[in-house]
Amino acid sequence: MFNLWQIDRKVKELPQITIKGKLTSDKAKEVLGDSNDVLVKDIYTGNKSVKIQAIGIDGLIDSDVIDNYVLRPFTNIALNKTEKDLYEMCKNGVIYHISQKEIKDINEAVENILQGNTVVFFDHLEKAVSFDAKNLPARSITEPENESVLKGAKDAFIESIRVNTGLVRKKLKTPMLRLESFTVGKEAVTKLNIVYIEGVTDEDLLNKVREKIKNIDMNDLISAGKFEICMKDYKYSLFPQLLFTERVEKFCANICDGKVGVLIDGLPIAYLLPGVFSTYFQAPEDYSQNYVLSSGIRLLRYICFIITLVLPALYIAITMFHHEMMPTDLAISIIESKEGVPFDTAVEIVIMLVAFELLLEASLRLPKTIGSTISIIGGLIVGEAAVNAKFISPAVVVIIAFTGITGFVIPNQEMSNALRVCRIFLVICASLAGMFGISFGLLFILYYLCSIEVLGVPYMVPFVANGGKNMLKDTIIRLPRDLFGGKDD
Amino acid sequence: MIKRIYFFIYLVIFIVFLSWSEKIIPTRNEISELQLSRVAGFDVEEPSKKVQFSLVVDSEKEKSKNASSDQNSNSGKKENVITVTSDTFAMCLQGLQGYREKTFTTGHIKNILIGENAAKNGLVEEFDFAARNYDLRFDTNVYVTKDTSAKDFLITGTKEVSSLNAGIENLSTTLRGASAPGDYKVVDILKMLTSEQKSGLIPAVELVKEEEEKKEWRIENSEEKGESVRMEVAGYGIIKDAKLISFFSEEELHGYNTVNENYINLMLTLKNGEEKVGIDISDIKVKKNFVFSKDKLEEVKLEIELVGDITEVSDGKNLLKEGLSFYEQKTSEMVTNYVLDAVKKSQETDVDFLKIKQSFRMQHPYRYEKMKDDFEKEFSTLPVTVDVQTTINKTYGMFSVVEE
Amino acid sequence: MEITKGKISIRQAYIIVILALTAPSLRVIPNYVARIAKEAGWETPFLVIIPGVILVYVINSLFQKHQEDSLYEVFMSVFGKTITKIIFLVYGIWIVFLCSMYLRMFGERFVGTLLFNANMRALLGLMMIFVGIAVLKKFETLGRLSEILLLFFIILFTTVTLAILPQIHLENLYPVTYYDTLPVLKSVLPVFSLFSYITPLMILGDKISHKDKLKTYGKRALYVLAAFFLMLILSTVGLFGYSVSQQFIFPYYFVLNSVSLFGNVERLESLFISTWLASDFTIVLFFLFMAKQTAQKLLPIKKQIFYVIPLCIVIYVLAVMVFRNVSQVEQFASNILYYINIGLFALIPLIALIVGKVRKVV
Repeated sequence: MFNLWQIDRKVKELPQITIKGKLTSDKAKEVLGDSNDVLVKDIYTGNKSVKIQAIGIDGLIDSDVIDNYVLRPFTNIALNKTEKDLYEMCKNGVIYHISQKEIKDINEAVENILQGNTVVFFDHLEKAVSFDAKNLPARSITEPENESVLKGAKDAFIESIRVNTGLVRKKLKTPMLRLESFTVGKEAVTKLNIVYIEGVTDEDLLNKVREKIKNIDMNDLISAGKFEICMKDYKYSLFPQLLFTERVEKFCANICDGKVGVLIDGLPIAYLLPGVFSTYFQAPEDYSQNYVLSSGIRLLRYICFIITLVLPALYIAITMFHHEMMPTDLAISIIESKEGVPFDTAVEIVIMLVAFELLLEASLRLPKTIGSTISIIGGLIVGEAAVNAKFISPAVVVIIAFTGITGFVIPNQEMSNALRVCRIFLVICASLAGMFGISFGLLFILYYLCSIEVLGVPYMVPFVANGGKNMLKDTIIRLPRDLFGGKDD
Repeated sequence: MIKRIYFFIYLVIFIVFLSWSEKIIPTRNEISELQLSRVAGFDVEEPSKKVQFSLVVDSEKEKSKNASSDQNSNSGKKENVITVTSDTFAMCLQGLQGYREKTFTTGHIKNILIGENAAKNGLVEEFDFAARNYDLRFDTNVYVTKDTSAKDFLITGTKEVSSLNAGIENLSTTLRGASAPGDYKVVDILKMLTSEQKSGLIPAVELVKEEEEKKEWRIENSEEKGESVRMEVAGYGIIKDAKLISFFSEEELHGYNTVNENYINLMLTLKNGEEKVGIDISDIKVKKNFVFSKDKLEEVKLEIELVGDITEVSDGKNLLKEGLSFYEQKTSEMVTNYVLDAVKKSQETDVDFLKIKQSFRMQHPYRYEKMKDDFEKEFSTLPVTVDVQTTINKTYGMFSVVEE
Repeated sequence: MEITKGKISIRQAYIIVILALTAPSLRVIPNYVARIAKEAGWETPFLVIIPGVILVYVINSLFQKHQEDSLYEVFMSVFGKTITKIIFLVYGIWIVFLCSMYLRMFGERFVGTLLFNANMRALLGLMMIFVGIAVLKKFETLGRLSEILLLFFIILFTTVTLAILPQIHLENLYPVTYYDTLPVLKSVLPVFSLFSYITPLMILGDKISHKDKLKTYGKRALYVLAAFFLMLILSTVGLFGYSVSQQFIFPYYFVLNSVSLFGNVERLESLFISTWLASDFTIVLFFLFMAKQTAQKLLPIKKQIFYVIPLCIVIYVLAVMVFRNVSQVEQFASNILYYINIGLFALIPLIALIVGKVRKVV
């Protein structure tokens, strides 16, 4: 990602490709080179003064459609016609294809060919027509892998942007749904669609999204991370600012709430902007369960958020600075359990946190068949043997285990990852100054969260900057729809 | 931006290493280095007038030979008392630090015992230390040890009683169980010492030998053969001008509890020759009326209403017809005597533990403001009349006939 | 309320004031009120509403025709340039002094209760660095932060009060007679002097939108503060009595000492006090914002870093050097500070309103 392999090598940066030249098939063939998947077909007219060629990329075009509905009609009408006549007939619908477009220049022609369209060049006229008959390789629509729900649609996005837009259109049959197309990337020209509902989505937000996309200046845009970096205002922030989803239902629901959706060709996920703090604590099944249960679970998530962030630091603060906070019996029990342990509490906590992170990373990399073995071995080694060997005290194991479990309750993995880093920061603060250090650290984190804005929207909305309204509507608890008071803000 | 990140990383490393220094944050103490104590004792050594500070700590455990490391090996746990003598209590606490490689903390002290001599010398020094010590809680229970010093009380207690900590912690429960919610905290003593009169009460405790009949009951336990001492609540000590002056007798204690409506239940035994009747007073209502004559306070009337039940009649007879009024009257007389004893004690010592002055101030604040100084002088000679009315509810038992 | 870029709403502004006043009121009110008004101290919050509402109405009237302006522009239109500059110079100096005093009190409180014998200069330096960085950022961040922190404070404070409620002795709070009238009125002064900080808040008036709702939110803030003060007094004087409360510099610490949740969770004062770091941070940052704004109005330099660094250094030096110990701070606060606050932040706006009405500029 950082192109470290390019250090000490002279690698030229690819300039923006702008093709100059006539709009002819020869020029197109010259630009595309000798690639063996570039298909070129002469259309025979019986007239040597007429030169019409169709160019497409094998593997991207639907050959059947092109053969039967483009080339064959040409063949039927082409005999003894001039190029100009054929061009007019093509433009006026003799060739039966709903998606045909007049090409203005060679740039556009090459771009269309690379996107999977078939372009018919009228060389002497220096004109061309593009026919959209793609048959892009794509997998079928499957269930989402990371966002499964009990009740709800189970279709997920795939890599093909057109299929994805089709899925959205299937769910949102409103005439106010708008899709705006953009292309980004110098090398890998990637198509991007922003999706919104006119009248619902804020115009300022839309303009900011458009501006951000237009300002993307990258060679390629294939990975999700690169897109996120380009769209974030606070690029170096630990906290996620874009919400992504695999589920079409969730995407459509958020569009209806006024968010702007972004679909990227080649990625099986969709982005929702802006991604504010409270959205990372919402899970898909919240809206399919009873509101009381959902509210309880939401509240539990927020409590777990605080626990996972603060618990190890709190333990350090209490055992190293504020011993009076602990009940006497518990304090005596901990003193007894710490007998013979050579490390300070702070060092124990850091060791255990690192061990926990190692276990997590190892389990991610391993194949599923032996992943569970690592968990058992890790638990046994860390849990039992280390305690028996007086390497760490049992209380610390409990604290870290509980911290880990509460960390996984947060639905969004990116937020959970951010909290892992903040947790270590708070552990350092607590080991320096106890409760004061924890307060300082938390204040710092909170201040930082309040300073973040995502496309002009404060990150901590609706807790802040909302006039005190709707703070609890769909955040810490989930109220029933009829108590929402109509349209969501 | 990269430079800022590098600068930030260096700064964090610098702060982490620098702040581990004791000079910046000296309050870091590992919990395993702590020695916790739940009971503390304050004494004054005679004749040097040096102070003594005692702490009850758990001694080294005696692990049984067969105990595995994860079994709870409390079997050998003992308590011992560490006493430090110095000029001030703060010096005593300072002197303890590092003793046996431990840091002594007062943050877990739940009970404070003050020796009788120390209390007689004055309570100001002890509670000044307690108030300035940020670790010591304000809701720590306070007791004065009757007839002994706090140190001796604690030492005897650790030898004779199975768990001194538990025993002392149970005293406040015992106080409530003895129908007198009277556990005093440090804050209550501070309030007393900062008031104008610097007077009030302080709960007293004593060690009672099993064979001594100091109470209305005697307890023997076949299991605890070696243990002949138990901790008992001994009423209250009377504080005046921040010094302990005397203790309540049994009768005065009953009178005090009655007037202040402290009792949850007051158990009385009335004897009429061979016959014994037990009465359980469950409801006490007291009214304090002040009688004036030409703007001068003439007397104080205490009107007490008691409501009780018969708990036991030794010959099982039905008291409803003749006996009831007799026993009601007898109860009234008994309680009247108790109250009069308490009133007499209050006037003798000039300590308003019956809250007569306080009630006067609450009921007649303007008169009180006008006659404040005179009232203080006249209080000790003010006539106090007591009128007790007893009503007994439950009158029949298993062995008496219920008449329709 | 719609979000206005670069500004905070009047609601957020008053929330900042409430949060900022939590820190000094915890220290001042129980101690001072117990000393002066004794058992009748609980009446003080009710009485402070009267001058408070008057002050809110005065400020509202001043800004009727100056919805987008700050206090500087209002005074300019009333008093003219020279007098306004003099007033703002005095304001600036006094605000810097208040900021250093609150910074010092923060240090004293933490060193006295949580971090015994810690190096106070390091603590103050750390706070000053954090505040200095924060003041260079947007003012909206402080508004948002305050909204969240106030929620936490309300929950925390309510929990403490509910836990303390069974231990409150009513005999510590009465009898109240007409003899207590004058002491209660005297005890209103320090409480009102804290509330008068809504005046210097309007120095930042050009960063505050929705000033048409100033009266509504001003009164709400006053009621919230009055309720807070009442709970504070009930907790301290009700629990300890006035004779004990007046002896302590920080009596609420000892109230927290007595809090016990469900009989098991005790000694939570460290937790609560460390939370009040947020209030100390808010009040120091709040005053620093005002000082920066005042400096910007008085001096022609535009780049804010040239104000902020010298201000931070001056405040730190004053905090470390002016007072020798916490008792001096207390004496200064009780003998001088409250009267100057009332003079500068209550009387001057009143005079401005009268002059403005006469000149028909407000």
